[in-house]
Amino acid sequence: MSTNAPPLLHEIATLLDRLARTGEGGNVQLYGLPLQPGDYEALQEALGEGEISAELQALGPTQIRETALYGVWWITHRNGEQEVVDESIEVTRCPAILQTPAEDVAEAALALRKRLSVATKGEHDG
Amino acid sequence: MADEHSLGELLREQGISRRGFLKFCGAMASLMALPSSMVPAIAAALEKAQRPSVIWLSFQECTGCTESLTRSHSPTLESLILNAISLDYHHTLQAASGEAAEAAREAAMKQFFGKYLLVVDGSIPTKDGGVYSTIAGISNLDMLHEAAKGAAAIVAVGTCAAFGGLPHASPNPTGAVAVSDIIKDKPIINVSGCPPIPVVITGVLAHYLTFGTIPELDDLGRPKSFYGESIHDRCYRRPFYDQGKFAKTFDDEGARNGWCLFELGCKGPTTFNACATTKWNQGTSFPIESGHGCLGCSEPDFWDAGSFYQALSTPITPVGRAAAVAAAAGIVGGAAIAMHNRHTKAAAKTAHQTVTIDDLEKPSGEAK
Amino acid sequence: MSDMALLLWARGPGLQIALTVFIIGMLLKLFEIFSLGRKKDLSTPRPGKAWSGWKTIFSRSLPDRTLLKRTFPTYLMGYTFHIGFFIALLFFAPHIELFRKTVGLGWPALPTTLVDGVTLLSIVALLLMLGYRLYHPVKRFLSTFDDYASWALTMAPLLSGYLAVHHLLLPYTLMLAIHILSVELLLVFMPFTKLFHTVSLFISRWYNGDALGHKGARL
Repeated sequence: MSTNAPPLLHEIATLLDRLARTGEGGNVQLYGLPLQPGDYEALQEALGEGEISAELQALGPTQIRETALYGVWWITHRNGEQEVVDESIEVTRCPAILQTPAEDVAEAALALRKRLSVATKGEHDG
Repeated sequence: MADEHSLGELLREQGISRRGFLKFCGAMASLMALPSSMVPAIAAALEKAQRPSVIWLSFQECTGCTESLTRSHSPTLESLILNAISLDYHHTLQAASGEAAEAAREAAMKQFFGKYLLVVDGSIPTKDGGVYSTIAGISNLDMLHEAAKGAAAIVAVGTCAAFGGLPHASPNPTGAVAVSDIIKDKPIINVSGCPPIPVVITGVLAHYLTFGTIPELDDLGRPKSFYGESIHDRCYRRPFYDQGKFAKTFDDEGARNGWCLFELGCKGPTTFNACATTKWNQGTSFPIESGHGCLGCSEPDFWDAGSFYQALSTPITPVGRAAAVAAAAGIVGGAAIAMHNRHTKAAAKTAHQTVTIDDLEKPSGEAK
Repeated sequence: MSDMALLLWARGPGLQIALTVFIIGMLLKLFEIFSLGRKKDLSTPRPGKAWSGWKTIFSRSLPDRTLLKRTFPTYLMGYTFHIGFFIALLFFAPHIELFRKTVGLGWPALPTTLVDGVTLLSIVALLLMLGYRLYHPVKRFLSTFDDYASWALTMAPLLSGYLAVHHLLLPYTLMLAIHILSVELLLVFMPFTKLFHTVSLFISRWYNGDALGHKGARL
């Protein structure tokens, strides 16, 4: 028996429409929704498996997968114990969690420069 | 002890990346039942947040609330939040004991006067001067009064602290009461449940940590984001209730089919908590999903609220005797009325005088 | 008093009190009616009319064609209310559970959505009836305090039950308590208002039917 999956699919369709028209998507929080047994599986089946699958290792693994519907991402956050701590369906062209934070880019540039300068110094010394 | 570091710095010191921090903030939003559009605001606030000092007092309790909170192993979000606060006193969890522990409590109360968050689990016995529960020779009653003075806010964790709970159950031999029965001049957040869901405890701490304020509360002082809806309304078995499909015993076909447990005494309709959505044991299930009705543990006086196994719409006391007594009284009274009526009727019959044609003619005859 | 305490009172002592008053009141009334008795009709009964009393009990539940035409709104709203009220009372799952626990009899429930719709219809019918009573000069003239009190006593459980199911106006626990208390109030006053017709209608129908049958009237 499945009663909560169809309305969720309708919501995803609406978000996709909006993403196509305005560039702004949205998300559906699965964690904390009163899903009935079978709803979750029905939803997975309806969305399917897409081309991209990524895993983030921070405070435990996070699976980021695009579904067979382009622009619809299924994101499952787990903690170190592999327990699901947050789960959502994001309608976006690229999930925010995949994009590198600007501060990290700046810090990476600094770190690389530092490494290069150390290496150059080493060469001169040698 | 609380320090000057912001939470953002603290987490990065622990080797948590910015993506990890974002994940943490997203989970915090879920935890506080906030929309994901709030994540950037949460991230900005948490980045700058200072670690608040927390003093945790355990009174007349079973340690189930603390167990609930610490059940999840590190590195979980719960433990991160616990790291994000400075838990300066918790006599079950802290390393120090005896005089050193009490000294830590007194030092924190002094240093962070007016700023610390006071967490209380367990009820407070008030009978006979509060002698039924003491810590380091100080009665719970006195310790609560003293610790509440400098608290910014109080979190009453568990049904005992929130509403009196089991110790308060009839006949309440120790005169146990809730925190809110004693402290009237501080904001009190009731996080009820026996025990409360761990993420609800941490959710409230997270809210305080993020926004520095207390969340919106219902009329029983519970955060609306977790206690806003009844178990019944969020229950996955609700469609069966609406269709009129009920389990009649714990092992019949209805029970096996996962039908509604209303007739088996489920208190879901009058119980407000997040069990049906947040669930227990890291989202595994909750009592109804395991086949047992809700006991209503997050509501005041749940222990005395009639049998756990009787439907909510049925009487809590048997009515047969009252009905029999009433029927007997009704019959006796009715018989009395009947006797009276018969008597009246008989009297009327006796007093009845037959009228003959002569009687009717008499007046006209006299007139002649 | 907390909402839960009120609910527990309603489910415990409240119900006991209400039931006691109800049973005593009903019995007193019945004894009173029956003990009054009627004069024996000494005329010879017309043939073939022995069952007319029993028949009338049922036949009077069907509309009379002449009256139906003349007072159609009263009939329509009356039927709607009575049928709806009994469906809500007898086929809502929590109510059946109450009967099962108290009198030991149970039967299958109707889906909540159906009971819900029917309840709403009953409420609307009751409201229209009150409006009609106030609007119609003759009805208004004939109405006494009993009529309005009986209306309110009947409306209260329907309305509070509907509001409770839909979580409207008040927290569910409090509304459920109010709903049960309103039913208890209905029980307490049933023997002493025109609501006693729930029982007396059978007696009066039989009596009328039998008397008419005795005289050979066509029923």
